[in-house]
Amino acid sequence: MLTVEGLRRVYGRGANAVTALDGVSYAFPPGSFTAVMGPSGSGKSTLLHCAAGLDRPTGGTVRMGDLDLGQLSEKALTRLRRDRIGFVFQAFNLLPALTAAQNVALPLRLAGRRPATAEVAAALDAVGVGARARHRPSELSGGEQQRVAIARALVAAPEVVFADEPAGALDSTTGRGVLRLLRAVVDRHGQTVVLVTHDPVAAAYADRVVFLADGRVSGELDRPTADAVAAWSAERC
Amino acid sequence: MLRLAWATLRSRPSAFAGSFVALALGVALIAATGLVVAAQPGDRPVSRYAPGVVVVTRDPFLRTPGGATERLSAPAGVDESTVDRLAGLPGVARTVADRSFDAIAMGPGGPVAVPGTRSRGHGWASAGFGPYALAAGAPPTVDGDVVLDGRLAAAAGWTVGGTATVLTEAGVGTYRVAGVLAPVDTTESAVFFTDARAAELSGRIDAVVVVPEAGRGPAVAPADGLRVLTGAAVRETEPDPVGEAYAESGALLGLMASIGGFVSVFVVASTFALAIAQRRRELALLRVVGATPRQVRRMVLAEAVVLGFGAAAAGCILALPVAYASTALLRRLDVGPPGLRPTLAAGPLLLATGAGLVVAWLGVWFASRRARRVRPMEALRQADVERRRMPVPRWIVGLVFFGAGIAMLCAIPGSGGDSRTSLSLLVGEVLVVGVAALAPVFVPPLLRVVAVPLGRSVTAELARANLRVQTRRAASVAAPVLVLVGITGSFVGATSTLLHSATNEQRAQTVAPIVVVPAAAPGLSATAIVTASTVEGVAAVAPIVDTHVNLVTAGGVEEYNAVVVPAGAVDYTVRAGSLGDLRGDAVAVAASFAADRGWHIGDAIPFYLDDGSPATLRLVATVDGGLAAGSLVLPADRMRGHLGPWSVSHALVTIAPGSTVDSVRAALAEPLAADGAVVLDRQTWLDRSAAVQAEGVAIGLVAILGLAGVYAAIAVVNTLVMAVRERTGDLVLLRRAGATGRQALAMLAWEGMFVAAVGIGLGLLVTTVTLVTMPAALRTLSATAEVSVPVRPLGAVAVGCALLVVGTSAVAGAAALRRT
Repeated sequence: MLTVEGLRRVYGRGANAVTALDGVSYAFPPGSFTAVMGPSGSGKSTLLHCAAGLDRPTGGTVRMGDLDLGQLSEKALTRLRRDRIGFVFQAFNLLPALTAAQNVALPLRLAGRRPATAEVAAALDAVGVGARARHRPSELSGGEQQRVAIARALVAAPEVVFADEPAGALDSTTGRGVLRLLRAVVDRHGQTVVLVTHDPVAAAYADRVVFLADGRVSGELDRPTADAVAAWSAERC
Repeated sequence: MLRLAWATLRSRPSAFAGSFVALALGVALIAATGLVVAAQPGDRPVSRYAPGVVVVTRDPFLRTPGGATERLSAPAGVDESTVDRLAGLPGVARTVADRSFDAIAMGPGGPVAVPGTRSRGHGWASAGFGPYALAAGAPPTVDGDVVLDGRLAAAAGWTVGGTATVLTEAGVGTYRVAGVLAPVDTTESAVFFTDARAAELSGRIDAVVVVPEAGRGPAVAPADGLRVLTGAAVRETEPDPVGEAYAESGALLGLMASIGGFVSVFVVASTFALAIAQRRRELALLRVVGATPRQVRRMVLAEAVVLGFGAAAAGCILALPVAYASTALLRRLDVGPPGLRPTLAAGPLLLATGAGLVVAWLGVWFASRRARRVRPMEALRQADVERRRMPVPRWIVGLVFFGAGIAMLCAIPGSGGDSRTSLSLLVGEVLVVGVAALAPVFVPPLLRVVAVPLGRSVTAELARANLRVQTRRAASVAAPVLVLVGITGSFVGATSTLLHSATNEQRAQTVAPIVVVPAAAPGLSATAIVTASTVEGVAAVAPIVDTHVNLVTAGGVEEYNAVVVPAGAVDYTVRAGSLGDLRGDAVAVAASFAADRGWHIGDAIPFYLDDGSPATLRLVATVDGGLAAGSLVLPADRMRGHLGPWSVSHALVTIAPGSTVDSVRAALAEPLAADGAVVLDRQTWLDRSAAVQAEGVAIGLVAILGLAGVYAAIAVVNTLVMAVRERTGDLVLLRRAGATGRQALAMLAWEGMFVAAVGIGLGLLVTTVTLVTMPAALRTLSATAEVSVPVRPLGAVAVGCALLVVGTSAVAGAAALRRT
């Protein structure tokens, strides 16, 4: 169970200070697909980064089960990211020097394990890019790169998968394929997915949508449809 | 992590090209110096001793009761009694008292020499145990006869029956050529006199040559104060001019290697730092995916090791051509032995490879620490803005090195003449490190100062803004400029300040209007002094003698330069005591020399003289000085009989009232020319001494900094290319914002200008520290100390760097623009 309580993140100091998160409290139920939405500047990416342990909040706590992320050292946080968290960004997910297969195997190698070739191949097959295992990111299309990124995010069987606009740079068809993959992660494997997006169509894949505005939670929507989400956003802006 | 490092290196070679080039050239530089040092002279020429003889000399080492040893500059000769004693030993066929002294052949146009040899005179008995055979004529019978080495006779154009003019320490003499020897390839070109004449010309018996009876081994045991040489060791007594030349160049090469190594580490460190800074996003992504800071650091270190091996291999391949270039440079400067050629030896190459790996490791060490601190968030950021905090360790390193540099500058005046050059170079290196560590403190105000006169245009302001934000990139480009300007300014500034102050001291102390200097020999002959004093108008001729004393210290025995000066000849500024007491067992010392050792007027100080004999001297006066000549002044009467050959370096002539300087000079010229001496007026002599030493400084500068300078220049270009390569994005943005290609190029050129100015400014800071501290330290020695600012070398280096940086920025920028 991933919870954030009273999360605050302030950038800069004094007169130049920017408050990205202004007291966000939320619980992400296990095995759920939650979409975080809001206009730009609402703090949704910041929320993701703090919840995933990529950034340290200025105030409040992030908990994974009983574990308080704020108490962890840099090394322990890294191990957490490696073993229990996966993420996919909008772009620049893969190390350009490594092949798709090597990229996928990387978290396991960093943990000191040597994954079997079959294990990696299976992970790539599961996302539909098994044939491209020996290719470098520069030789893959945008959609293929995102799929490889998802395969890497999933290879360590994490509890939570964070995705920040994973379909943002892709065309609608390819984007839908990526979102369907994320949906399958929740449905088939019972993992938790937190998706940050500004696209109502993407949000419709989720079980629940959380709306952020000015660094605070401004509403929730259960079992969203694209229209409902769009209507809600239009009302609030 | 090694697999990952290898994969990264293999897939993106261009990212590492810059670091590779920097390291490969650094290794080549170090290896090349090693190859030149390893160069050995060819086969040694023939020995002047026949095989099997035993040579007994005085022990050339001073051995104190405490166990310390020091090689004496002028060891005494062997007693007559020793010759007789050795003759009486069993198994000895005969003994020969060998006298060996400099005998310079004087041709009509000046001294004649055989290249690669030293001209030595002996008694005819010494010819009996060597490879000599008469080619023409007969052995010398009367004291006016000589027998010459065949090569020397040919060089001087002398034949049997003709006249030969030979200069020895006793004076110039004319002789009849009784015989000529067949040419033999010895390191001596020998002149043989009769034994009686040889004993007159040189009172010392330098060695006793013992010829053992046929078939019996030598039966001479070493005795107190004597050294017994057998077998191949006998050659130690022979002159080795080629070997000495190699040894001299070895010292210079050592300095070159030191500066080359230093510049390499500096350049490689800044290049690696830039390379890692450019990979920030990639490293941050690794952190996101789950690499611990330690793992990231290990990967960076592994890359450096792999890169290091590859670059070391390339460097070794380049080493030989660079070594040839180096020897060509030395030959151009007339430094080192004539036949110097680098030899391909495994030793220097292995050493350089090891050094290269160490340099790579050191270079990446600090950069890898920064890599470890990359935060995962930086993978998500587009802009490259760096934090500008000065961590505490950097403050400490900077201040420590700064302080150490200043301390070393204060120590230079008190150190011996030989170590002054190496210390001056070391000071430059230390100060450069200190300033580089403290650079983030100096750079922003420097940028502000430089920008005021330079740029008001929009492109210049863009350049300034970029630099303020991208200090890592600017620092890496400025680093080689800082090293070059800093070391040039500091080294040349220190050595020329020393030189200038020494010349001032000499000028203050020398009051005599005329100075007699030797023309051909290492010193003035005895007859020259006598001849000069008999010329009309001369009031007094004061010979100035260079010698040494040995002082027992806690660390062993140290040899120091000393002078023997007749009373009143040199105008010393007396700080305490009185020079009038300088006779008998007395000594006068430079004030700082005495202060460093806690001596006071009246103290009795135990010394060993140049020939090893002990002498306890009373300190009677302390004087200003110690820069130009030695730090100790000895009384002439006490030193008689203890001086080495050719110890009179010059003579000061005072004129009688009623005569003019010019007339006396004219009167002295001819008689002294025959005695192998030249007459100069005081100013000419001072100018000549200064000029000779200035030339030495200039040669030193080019030799030592030449190769390292070329390397630093290449490093500047290399780093700039690396830096501009990542600016393609910036340039595209700029074009989209509405700038023309010309304006984009102008911005890059301005950036180059500012960065060059920063590097030069920091280098000038190093120079200023040196030029302010050094004279202050020297003034404790000698009130005449004065600073000498090396304007020409500094200006040349600064302008060169500026042109190089701006030019490369423009060219690399144009290439980048064309790519967009």
